Amino acid sequence: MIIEIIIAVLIGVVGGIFSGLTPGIHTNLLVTLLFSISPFLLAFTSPLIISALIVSMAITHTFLNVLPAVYLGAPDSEGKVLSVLPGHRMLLQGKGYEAVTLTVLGSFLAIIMGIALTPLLLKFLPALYSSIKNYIGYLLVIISIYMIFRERKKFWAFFIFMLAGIFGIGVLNLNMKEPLFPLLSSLFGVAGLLISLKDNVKIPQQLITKIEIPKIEVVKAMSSAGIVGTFVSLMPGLGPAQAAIIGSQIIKLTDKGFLILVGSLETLGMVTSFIAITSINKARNGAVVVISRLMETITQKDLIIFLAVALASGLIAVFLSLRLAKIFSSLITKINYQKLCIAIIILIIVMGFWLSSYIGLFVLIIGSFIGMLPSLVGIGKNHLMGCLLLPVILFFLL
Amino acid sequence: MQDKVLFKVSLIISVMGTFLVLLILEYSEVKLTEINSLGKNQLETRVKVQGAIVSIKETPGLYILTIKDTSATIPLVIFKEDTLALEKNTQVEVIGKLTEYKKELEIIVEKIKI
Repeated sequence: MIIEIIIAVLIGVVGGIFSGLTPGIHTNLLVTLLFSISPFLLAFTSPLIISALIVSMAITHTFLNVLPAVYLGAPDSEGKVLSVLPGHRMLLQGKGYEAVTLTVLGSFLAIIMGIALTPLLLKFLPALYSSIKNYIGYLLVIISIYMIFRERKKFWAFFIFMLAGIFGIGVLNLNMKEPLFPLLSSLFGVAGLLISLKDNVKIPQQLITKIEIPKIEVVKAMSSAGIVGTFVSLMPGLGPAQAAIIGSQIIKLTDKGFLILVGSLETLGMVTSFIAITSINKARNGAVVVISRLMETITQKDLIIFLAVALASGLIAVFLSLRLAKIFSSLITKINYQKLCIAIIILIIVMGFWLSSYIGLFVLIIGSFIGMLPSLVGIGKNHLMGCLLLPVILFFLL
Repeated sequence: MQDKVLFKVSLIISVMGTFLVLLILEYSEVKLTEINSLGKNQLETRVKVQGAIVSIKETPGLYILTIKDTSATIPLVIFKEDTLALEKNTQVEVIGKLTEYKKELEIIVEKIKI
């Protein structure tokens, strides 16, 4: 069985590289594809091995997706420092590699932390969940209001949150295939690339030097991740961006600490979702949904295998992410950034049409305009998560 | 293009586009279908069926129900959020996405009402 698991880990890593590096491709898409061919795969292997492959793919994705997030879609930071993400800010200072390293460090520490916290989570997650489950809708409302009120331009933050929310409700209820792809890749992908094109961004020479890891920031970020990550893993609709904002309010962080926090929250969210399916029987993401379909029951022994797979794939992903970041750092100044942005927009449009037909293209166009609004107004892009948060809030409150 | 002009254009297209999405939604109500008339050409689209529950199965994160109308049976997949308050023989109406697993059609449930 060990050899089968190793093969599953390696195949999963390849899938995670593909989904992580391709803007707009979410693990859910590959996992759904894998699920559709699982009857064929089950003739050769067991549900546990396919699940291990999914775990490996999902974990690798959380490491690799930092590369397009840092290297693509950077706006011109002049005069709108507050709305520029720390990863982009560092890229524009020639420190893209450092931004990736910090995020990857956060991701890897999150796996260690998730494994260390497993006995505690298995014991206390059911009680924690049952104490908040009736209030999830209200808690999400409070978090959304908090996000809006911390902005200087509160009206626009509220307006964009609601607009994205209503747009999300509409798109998720339209009779179309794969609505999440055009919805998320337009709001968070194409919009950022269009802003880069508009600003005619010039990426400076990237420095690849020995990176000083700020130990105190690591401790602060991971403490924050431990507190917020567990809580957020129980809250559907919240992403790492919102979680990181909440976390950085609890413990004040620099840009470097914030990047460690973002990396850790994304991976910790994935690791705790494997624990959550075992302890509270709740599937919090697409990967876990498919695992829970494949496996009749998930025992603690299965969970240990999943965590070992997460650790192994995480180790490989650390090496891959840093290696690729070096390559990206050297290439990004050699290639024409504008042409690269246009090529990726075309790729997303082709995929949107392939997955969701004409209605997908329509959603891509409208979503791209909505997605540009936060940058044009000068507020955080996190309000665009209203596209998922508002439908989830209404689901819990109505 | 100046930021102000782009902002105004984006704002107008965003609001009008969202309104248009809601309008399409309003005029694209999912029609009730008999189970045996569901076909692979409808895969990954939203369908509406009615029937009586004939079996209830549980996995770690899901409930899998089978419902039966006068024409055929079909499995329903429901994500666990709350305890399922449904019993065998209960008549339900379901809206959800039609998918295929092990060469059989099934519905990922979005709305279920008794």
